[in-house]
Amino acid sequence: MFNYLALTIVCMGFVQVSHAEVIGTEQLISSEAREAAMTRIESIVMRDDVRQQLSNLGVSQEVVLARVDRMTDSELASFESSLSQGIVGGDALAVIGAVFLVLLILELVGVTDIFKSI
Amino acid sequence: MSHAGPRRPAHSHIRWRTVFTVFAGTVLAACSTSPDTVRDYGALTQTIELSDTPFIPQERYQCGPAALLTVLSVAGATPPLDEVVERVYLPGSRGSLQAEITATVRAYGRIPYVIDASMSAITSEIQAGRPVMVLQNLGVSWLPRWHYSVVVGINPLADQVVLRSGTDARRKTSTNTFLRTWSRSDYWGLVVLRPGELPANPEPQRYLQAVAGLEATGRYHDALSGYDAALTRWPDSTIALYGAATANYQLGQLAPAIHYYQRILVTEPDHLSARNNMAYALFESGHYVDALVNIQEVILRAHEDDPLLGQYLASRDELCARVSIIDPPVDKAEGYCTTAGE
Repeated sequence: MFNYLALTIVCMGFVQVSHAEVIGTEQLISSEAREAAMTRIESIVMRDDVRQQLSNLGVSQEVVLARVDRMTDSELASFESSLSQGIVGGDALAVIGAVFLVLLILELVGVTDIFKSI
Repeated sequence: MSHAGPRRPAHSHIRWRTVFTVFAGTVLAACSTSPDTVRDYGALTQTIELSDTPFIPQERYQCGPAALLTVLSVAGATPPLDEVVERVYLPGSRGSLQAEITATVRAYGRIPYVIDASMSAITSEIQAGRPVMVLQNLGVSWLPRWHYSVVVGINPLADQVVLRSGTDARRKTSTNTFLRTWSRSDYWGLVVLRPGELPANPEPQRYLQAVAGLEATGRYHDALSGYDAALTRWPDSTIALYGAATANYQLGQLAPAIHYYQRILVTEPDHLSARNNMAYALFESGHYVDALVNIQEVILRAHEDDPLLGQYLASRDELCARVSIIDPPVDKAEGYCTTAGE
């Protein structure tokens, strides 16, 4: 009986080791989606007019992108959809487009201190 | 009458919203009626109604479970209502969350597919025999009254939709009113598919994501049927191939798993997740050295900022640990486990 028990424990241990953790399809999809979202956000943040506005406010692109990078997948998705909504609105309000976009970005990544310092 | 109160996703940009509204209010004011692209009935010219759809009257506040059981039972899953209530109903908020609804659909081995935001998407599903569960807001945006119901019929001539709604077995609503209430949930609409069944107008990414949810919850047989169906429609879809490979692997069917991973790697040799999993499939089928060659290749090709790098390294450690205890020792294995660069 004891032997049987011991064998069971050994087997359980072995099963844990041998249970290969392949990368599941869901994980693949979400990591690809994250990468694509990051690329789209980067392309917006790297725009010349946006960069200019950011530097006027004393914020570097790196700070913004680092913050975006730290977001969870769902935060990132929400950020991106808000950003694209902002861009749609920005088209209609072309005059203040870049300023608006920058304020939006800063608001979304939580660099709110900027408003106190200016 | 019912009050479902799904928690809307928390937005971190409420303040921004306010700012935006002030600036853009005039621009957006024109958007309060649904655009023609949403209203369009598609190819439908005649009245259509799925009269066989069961009617499950809701109890107080529980329109979510009742509507969900309606669409589940059309897809052949008929759990008792109590059980569905337990899974999706949140007494605190007197309602159900969309995420809990899709999770429950998966728990019954069905695929929850969120349809496109249009009348024609509903029409196509109904024409395919599937009623559509929808989330409506019967109140106004600032005083919401969330409600789940099921669209079972459309009459394009009278501009009406027919709903199983609350305690109404057959509520007729004008399309305009319906669209106004539906728009406030961002047109959230769900169909329940049997594994192997595709939606009327499937969007590949969204469909495969729904199937991947089945795989992630351990329903490998159901997931495999879903991926197989995807491969009949999109034979070269990398995600569908990957899913079919992974579901096969999890079912211990190593030959088809290797076949599908191989199909990805032929066209995308840098698909590191596929190569990582390929290493496992080869290892399990006794091709130890091939497995180690592949996992070493993954680590050599990986960028240092690859979010999955940690996982690749863990894979190599695991496979090397396992090969080291194989008796008799595997020829040449040592080399792949000591020289791999980190």
